Amino acid sequence: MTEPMAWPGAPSRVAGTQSQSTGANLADILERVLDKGVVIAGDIKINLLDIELLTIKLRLLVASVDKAKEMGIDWWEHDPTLSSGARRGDLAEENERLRDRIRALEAGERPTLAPSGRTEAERDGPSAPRSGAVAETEEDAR
Amino acid sequence: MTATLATITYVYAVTTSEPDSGQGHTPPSGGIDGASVRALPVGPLTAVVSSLPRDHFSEAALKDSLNDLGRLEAVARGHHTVVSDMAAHRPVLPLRLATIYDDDERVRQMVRGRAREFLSALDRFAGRAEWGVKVFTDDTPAPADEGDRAAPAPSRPTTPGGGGAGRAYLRRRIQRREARERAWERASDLSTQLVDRLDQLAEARRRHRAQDNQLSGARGGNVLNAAFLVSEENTRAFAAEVERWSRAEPGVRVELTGPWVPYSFVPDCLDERTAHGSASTVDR
Repeated sequence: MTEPMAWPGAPSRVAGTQSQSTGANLADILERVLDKGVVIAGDIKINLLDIELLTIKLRLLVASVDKAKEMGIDWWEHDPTLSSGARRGDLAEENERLRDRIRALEAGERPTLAPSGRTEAERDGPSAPRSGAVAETEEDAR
Repeated sequence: MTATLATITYVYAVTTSEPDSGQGHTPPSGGIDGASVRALPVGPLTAVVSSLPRDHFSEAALKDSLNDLGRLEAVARGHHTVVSDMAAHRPVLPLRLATIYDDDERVRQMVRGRAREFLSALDRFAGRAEWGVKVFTDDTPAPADEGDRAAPAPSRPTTPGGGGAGRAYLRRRIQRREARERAWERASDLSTQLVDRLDQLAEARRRHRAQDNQLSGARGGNVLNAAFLVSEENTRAFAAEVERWSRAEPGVRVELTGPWVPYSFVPDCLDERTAHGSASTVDR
């Protein structure tokens, strides 16, 4: 047995492994107290789906997620800046966009360059608000 | 229906009723909203509770308040502080945020009904703690790395035959994207090896969702976010192993947090989400 272990509320530091300093970060706390721990239905019932929605909201830090979901907009699920699991999908999406563009060019269309740098053909595509555009803008800004 | 009280009983955690092993029991100083924290003994177990105003903790009020980030943070930190203070002295079984009963007697009924499960889970947690390990890609490119892979540095003039500023811009964008892809791959490879090594020192592991930088304040992409259940005996070796890997690969950052009360290792049998097959178990 080693000496008794302390259990402070804040994360302890191991030299060289942590760039953040004081206090447990909110994301670390929330992913535990909201998502983990014993779940027992108390007398006051809280809808887990509300909490799930809340965590999505936290990822976005916007107020209008309910509305966005109602409208079927769920691009954050595929946005690499918001969900790392989608990062691979980013490339696939770009490939898809490029293929679309090649098809358009082969069909003899002349896509004109829109002010945003994207082509009219792309902007008029069927799945209009594409996540890739948002992600690219943010990444390029870095 | 009997008259409802002006307060509800909020349960933070369940712990053992045995006397403290150590320096005597100091109850947590303050709970959510500064409410006093009480011990509610139920045979061999003790529920850790606060009385809180019913009108702030009704279903409707909670739905509003938990969707307010500032308020959520206050409640979550209050909950977490009580749970981790308790854990300084004894094994603790943390309940999920906002587990609320009409009164103390309803809490006693609940604890009595689940006493056997609680005791076995507490036994499993004795002498163990949860440690969080995260792996990030570092967005600031390492100069040595750029050299290794013969990718031109951003400041270097464009190669001959490049053909204008537009093409140079596109090339830089592609290079940046490729650099990010490479960093991501290296961080993923390191994560796989790191997890293999840490598994040998830990008793259990859970993977959490990757965190969003806006909430965590971290730099770079979160490739791995995992929790490990580690015994006191292995804690030093575990931390040393994490530190060793944090220096293994330039452009990849490894972070260790803890010790945490083992939130992530509450047995599945205690989790009503599993029993009911709720949507919240998806993607875990």
